[in-house]
Amino acid sequence: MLPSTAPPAAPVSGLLVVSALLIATCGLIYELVAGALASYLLGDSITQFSLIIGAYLSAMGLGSYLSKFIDRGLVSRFVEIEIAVALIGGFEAPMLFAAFTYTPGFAPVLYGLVLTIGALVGLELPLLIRILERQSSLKELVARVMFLDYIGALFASLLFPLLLVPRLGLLRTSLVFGILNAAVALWTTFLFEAPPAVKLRLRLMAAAALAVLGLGFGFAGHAERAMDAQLFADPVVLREVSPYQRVTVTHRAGDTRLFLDGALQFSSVDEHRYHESLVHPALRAVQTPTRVLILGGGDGLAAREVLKHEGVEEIVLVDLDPIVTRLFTEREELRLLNDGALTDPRVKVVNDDAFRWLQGEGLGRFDAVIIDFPDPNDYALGKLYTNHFYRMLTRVMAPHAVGSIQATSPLFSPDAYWCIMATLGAELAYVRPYHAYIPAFGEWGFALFSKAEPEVRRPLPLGLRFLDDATIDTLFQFPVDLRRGPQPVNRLDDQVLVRLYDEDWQKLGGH
Amino acid sequence: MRLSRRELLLGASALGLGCGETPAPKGPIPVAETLPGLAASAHRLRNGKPQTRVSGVERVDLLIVGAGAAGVSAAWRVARAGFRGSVSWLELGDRPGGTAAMGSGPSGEFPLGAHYITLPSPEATHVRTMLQDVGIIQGFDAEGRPRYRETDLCFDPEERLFYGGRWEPGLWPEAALSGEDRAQKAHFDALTQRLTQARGADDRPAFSIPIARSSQDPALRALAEQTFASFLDAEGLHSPALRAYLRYAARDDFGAELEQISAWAGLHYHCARRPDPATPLGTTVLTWPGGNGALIGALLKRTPYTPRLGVLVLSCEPEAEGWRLAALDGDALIEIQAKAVIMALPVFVVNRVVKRPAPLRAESAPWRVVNLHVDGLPAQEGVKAAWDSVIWGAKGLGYVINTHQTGAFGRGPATLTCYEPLSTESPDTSRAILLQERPQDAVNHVLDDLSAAMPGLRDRVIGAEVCPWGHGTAIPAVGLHRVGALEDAARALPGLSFASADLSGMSLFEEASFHGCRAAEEVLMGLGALTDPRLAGPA
Repeated sequence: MLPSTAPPAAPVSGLLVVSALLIATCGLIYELVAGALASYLLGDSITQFSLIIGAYLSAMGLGSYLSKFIDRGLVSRFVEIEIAVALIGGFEAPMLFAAFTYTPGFAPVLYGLVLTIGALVGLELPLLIRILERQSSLKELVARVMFLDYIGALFASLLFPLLLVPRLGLLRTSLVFGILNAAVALWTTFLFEAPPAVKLRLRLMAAAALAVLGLGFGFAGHAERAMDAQLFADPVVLREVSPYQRVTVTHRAGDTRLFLDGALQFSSVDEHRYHESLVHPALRAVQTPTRVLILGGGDGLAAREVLKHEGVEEIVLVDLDPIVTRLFTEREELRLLNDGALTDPRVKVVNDDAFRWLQGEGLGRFDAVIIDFPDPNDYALGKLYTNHFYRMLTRVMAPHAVGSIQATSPLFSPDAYWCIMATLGAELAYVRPYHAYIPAFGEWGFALFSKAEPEVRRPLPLGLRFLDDATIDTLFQFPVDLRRGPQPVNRLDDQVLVRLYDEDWQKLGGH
Repeated sequence: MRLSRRELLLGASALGLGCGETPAPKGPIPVAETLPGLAASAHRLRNGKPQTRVSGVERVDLLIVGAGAAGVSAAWRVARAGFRGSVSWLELGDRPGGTAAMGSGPSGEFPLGAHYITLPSPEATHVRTMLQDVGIIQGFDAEGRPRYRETDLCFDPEERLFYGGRWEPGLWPEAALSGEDRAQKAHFDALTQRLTQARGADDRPAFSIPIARSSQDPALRALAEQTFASFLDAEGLHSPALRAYLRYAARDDFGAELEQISAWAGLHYHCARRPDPATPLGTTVLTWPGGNGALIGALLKRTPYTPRLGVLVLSCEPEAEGWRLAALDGDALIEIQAKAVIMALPVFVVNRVVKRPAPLRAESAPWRVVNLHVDGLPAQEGVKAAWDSVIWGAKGLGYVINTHQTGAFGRGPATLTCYEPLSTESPDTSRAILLQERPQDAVNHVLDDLSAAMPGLRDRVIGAEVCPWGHGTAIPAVGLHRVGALEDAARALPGLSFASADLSGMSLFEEASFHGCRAAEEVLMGLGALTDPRLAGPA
């Protein structure tokens, strides 16, 4: 391929191809990482990408210009620059995350990094061309190097959105390309003649860079967890990790939000819509709700609504996570949300897996049942939506008992919603789907269920903010686009619901 | 609000993040060994009869020797027949169950060995009857198809496979395969589907569980005369992925390599299961947190008999009216005279206890089973939980987790039962290695094997129990399943019947229980005490 005048044709050709391609790919990846991070963290992606591309390209120009001041030890300088790019570029995403998390000045760090990496990348190609210049004609060399440079850019722009971000995330993408850059540096030391002492020094530096980057890659998972808190829209006021889930509370301008494993459970601005819709349709259909069972609902908000009904003597609240119920019992700002429901003497909190708890003996019969589990996004939650679970539930339901359940969104996850309806229908004679609009969630689905059609319709308690007797029945009307055909029953040996739920959300474009 | 932003930032791995904080590194893991008593006392057999005084002679109508799956099934069958005579029952181990025993730990019951059965086909009358008796089959529909109790069916997701850096659903590495791999898998699947429905000239299914119900057609049994590996070669099935998958299956059921088992046995694994439940199910497996130990426990509850534990039978000699056995109960030598005996022991033990003209010589595979008690699972990539977790390319077969079937799905404390048949060297060599291995080394070996898929697991282990099964599973070698071979080995002596899965050449609960029931029915007939129809009679 190379002109016959070039003596060590094979290694140089190899170096040229691999180095130029890798350098170009790495260079563009660092730019894309910066652009993507800036638009995610700061918003306004047009501005962010535009500014970062501009800054990066101009810094590359600066680097190319500065290359003329490098005269001696071209190969050593090249290797050193590679190592520097590897380290700075490799740790670009971690450094940007850290800056966003721990410092007030994100923009200076962002542009400082972009300019530094840009300048270093700008130095690379002129140096590479000059190193190879002695072994090939300039015409040939420039054509090849520039060709590979632009092809590398194509690689990067395809790999980045299709493979790297979805599979590795930005943090590890950045580190992987740092490792590749350092590998180019190390490899280069084996291709060119240099005094042994110089070679040794360069190799040690490159190996150290590889080790540091490798270590960084190993700890990326750890760092992701540490940064987790910063990925919520509002300031995090509380973060606890229980054996079951990550519990996060955010607060901004009168809006308190609870997240379990990153999924929103309620926003204090509109949770009254959710919890009134969840509780009162069932409770008003029971003559005297003496004993009420709440499954899930460790935030105490459903209990607060139940306590608005006269005649309630006992509420048994079964929630898996003692950390959630403790927070909503002890923390003043959270207690205010549930009106101290969890310290009400009528409320008995049981921290257990509802699936296991229902297998127990001596549970007695309940007059009403409220089910408020997180969405069935994994199998451990999906089991709480199986026909077997509902059959166990019927054993603790009095003959006249009425239950209600949150059942995901009939708009966003219609297959999952109607699968829950079908599963309830497999065990209970009476199932009535209904829905309400909750701004924080969107259109949300529920169902009433009972062993027989309830005959009671008591007036709603006073002081509700969302429901009244005149309009509550409208919740049971489904517009055309919320109606769906039958779905399979969710069973323990075949948890179709988890898969339907996952597919539904994927259809919505990766929400 | 879903995770879109988080996913973009952190990649798919964000979804697989575990909940627990990384705990501080701990000291050495407390390790227990569960079978030393069994192995040590069993090896006393080799040393001949000890010189201790006989402390008494016991006389019974029926003696059952062994309380593994075969012995427990025999006892269940005797009880079911309403036998009124006196029964005595001896077991060497410290608990009933044999290789189907279970342990109990910080997260509840866990298996020490066998941990599931497949849904029984219609031919497995005895299994269906047993399952109905213990409440696992809750009834049959008009076509006779069983309805199963949901909590005994393996919960979804059943299996996951670790390859390419993450856990994927199923056991077949779909995404990593070439077109040729897929084509060969399709060829193999078509072949096994055809054989699953095939019948021999005697109109019996080509492959059946129980094996005694399989066709004796010489054309089919010719498959017992070649190794599975040579059969696959002849079929042109060379795909490395397919061979790895089939090797996994062979090691899983037989503890042996494709070169060690016959083609008949290798195909039996894939072609003998024809469950027909009343409702279409997402699984073909029944399992329990304690593995088959739970089934043993349920059967024991249905019998009035209790095995005497820690008793080693030394000899069994015919007498004018029945049999005379010598046994060691602790240090005391005891003698028992029985009118009839059910010898429910593995054949390698029976051969030392009962003199027979042509005893069955069959090899068995040693297994390293290690139970890891964890306070939780570390963060993992991909499918977060499954009953059975397999790591592509690992030495071991992976692990089952006992809290899957309780509904915890791997959340919180659990016991991981890790299985590894030592199949790469000869059984004798491997057995020697296994029995000399320090329990701590076994635990380290397993943790190393799992480390690629479960980084950080070591820090979550709070204890371990090592079960070195010197004779874990029968190896169905070439010739073992030729016409008549096993039938000869199972033939009763007057007043003495043999029961063991070894007599099927495969260590399946269904086979052990078949021989248990068959042996019980034989001796009951001999005593004139069989009053109900046979469950495990001749085909």
